[in-house]
Amino acid sequence: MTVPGRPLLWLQGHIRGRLSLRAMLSVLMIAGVASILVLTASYFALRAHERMRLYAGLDELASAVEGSASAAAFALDSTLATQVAQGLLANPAVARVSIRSGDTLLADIQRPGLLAGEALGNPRFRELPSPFDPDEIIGSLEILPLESHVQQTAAAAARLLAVLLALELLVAAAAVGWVVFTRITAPIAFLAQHVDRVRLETASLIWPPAGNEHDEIGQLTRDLNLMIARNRGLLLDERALREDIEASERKFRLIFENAETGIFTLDAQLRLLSWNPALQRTFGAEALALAGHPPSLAALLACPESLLTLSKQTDQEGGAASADFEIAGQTGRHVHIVLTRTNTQTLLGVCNDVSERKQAEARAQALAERDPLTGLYNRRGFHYRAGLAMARVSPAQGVAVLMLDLDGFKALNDTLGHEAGDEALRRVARLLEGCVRKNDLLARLGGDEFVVLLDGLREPQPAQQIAEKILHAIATFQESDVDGVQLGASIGIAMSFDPGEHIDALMHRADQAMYGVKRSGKHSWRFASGQ
Amino acid sequence: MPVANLPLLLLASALLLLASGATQAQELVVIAHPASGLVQLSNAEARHLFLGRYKRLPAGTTAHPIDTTQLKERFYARLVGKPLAEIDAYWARLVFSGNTRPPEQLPDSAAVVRRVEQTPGAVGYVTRDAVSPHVRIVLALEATP
Repeated sequence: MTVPGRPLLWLQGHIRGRLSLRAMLSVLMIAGVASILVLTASYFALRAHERMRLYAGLDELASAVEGSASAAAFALDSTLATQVAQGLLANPAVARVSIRSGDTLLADIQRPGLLAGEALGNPRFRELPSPFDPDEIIGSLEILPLESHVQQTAAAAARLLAVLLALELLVAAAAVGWVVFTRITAPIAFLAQHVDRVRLETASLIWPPAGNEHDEIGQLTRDLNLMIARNRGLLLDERALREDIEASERKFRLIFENAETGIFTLDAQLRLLSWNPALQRTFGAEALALAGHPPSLAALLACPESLLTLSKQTDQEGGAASADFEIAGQTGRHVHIVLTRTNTQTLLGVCNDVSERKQAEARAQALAERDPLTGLYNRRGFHYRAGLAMARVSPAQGVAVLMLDLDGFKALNDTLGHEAGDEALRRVARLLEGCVRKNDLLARLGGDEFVVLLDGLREPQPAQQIAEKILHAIATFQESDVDGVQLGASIGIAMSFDPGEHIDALMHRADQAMYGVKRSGKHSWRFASGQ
Repeated sequence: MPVANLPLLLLASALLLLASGATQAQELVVIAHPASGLVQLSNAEARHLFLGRYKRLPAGTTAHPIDTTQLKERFYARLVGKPLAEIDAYWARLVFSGNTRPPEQLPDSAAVVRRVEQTPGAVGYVTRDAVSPHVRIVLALEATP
């Protein structure tokens, strides 16, 4: 960009941006072009017209002097004829005058000072009638126009008129431009300026330009104000909304960061999208790091499939589901997870460490089900599990119940004391555990009474074998005892292949058999009658 | 033709003659000096003489037309067929700007006759009854123009 070009570009830009200037310039340009066209066309037209007019003028001149010329021709008076000719020459458009009477030249005068070769027009010829008889032609009058003068005069007149016309046009254009400027573009420019200055925050309105209150511009102003007010309202609403959102955000962040409960979100593949510090503390930073990027929550649990099951539950049961899970690699540490489906792709969850509760539960469970002394199931625990086993009874596979009563326990207790008695019971419990199979049910019913339930039996033999084993074991135990207190066992065995039989009935039968053993010498086993 | 009307006829003729005689007495005639060389003038020639077109008589002598003021209007009305005002206007132009002079103005026929008797080249117009034997009638204008 050259230096001379810069101001021009600035000017261009300035003009383009100002509506009023543009309007004015357009009007002036159009007027200018029109003026030039008008000037040119009218000049030529006017000039031709003026020429015609001047020639007609000459003819009129000739008419005016015809009387005198005729008189001169009639009287053959060259003096009068000369006078007439001189009079005609006073008109600057006349170059030469000739008056004849018949063929006699009475006067022939040329304008003095004519340059050689000066343009002379076509002669205006007129016949002179007799003053006393219009039908008799007695002479002629000839006027030679000075073409150069005619042309100049015509041109001058034409120029003047053309210029006036053009000026008139320009003035009209300027008037139009002025009106447009003051009535239309100025108010609009005023409005544009004010709109530019309006700040939405302040309650400012635009006043209509003076004089335009009741026309379209006034209406535009009112509409603009309406729009501004509406926008202001929207802006304020949005601000308030945003502030509410930010406050909520802050609240949420507080809760998220500071809660003791683990809060997290999962994607469709059950990977952690986000989690709070509490969750990190629960599982441990290293475990989370090792679980992948993003970490898979299922991988952090001992039983990953169970999480999938839970997530599926959220689809069915109104969007939320919860369950307890054991943490992978840390037995005894349990978490309670509640999952909520927020949309098809994500789940929201909370996670609480429930290890203590779980332990308490286990303890309570144990308390309910186990004998505190020996650790074996107690009556309740046995009853519950025996009931489950009884439900599996079929004519093909039955159960056997061994009711066991220790022989000589009372004597031991009385002799050695309760503590020794408790110890003996404990040792017996261990022995019994060693005799039964892994899945067999062993319980201490109370005092020195024990019971064993064997299921999945097709025949009595296993029951017998186990009874023998028990007797043998107890006898062995007996051998190691220093104080020489004799312990034995009376075992009553009852079997059932009847799915309808209740455990109580079965136990009763075994019990009866056991009593039979007790009465008849002890330290033996006997089948219930009818087995 | 019935013979009984003959006296009526004779009377009518006599009256006609008398009337013509009376009219004849008022008839305008153009007179000239006997030695002017003029014998007979046509109407056109008379016009040209009295209106300044001809400035010489055929013989070559300078023409000296004379207007009879008393008869002027009648004369030009009959000779040219134009009112006196036009004739005066015509002469006014020539007198003002030109070289041609109007005819000498004499008051009545008697004066004109005396002038024509004395001036060769003089031409004037008088009523017929004013004509003297010393002038020659060269043109007689019709009674009614």
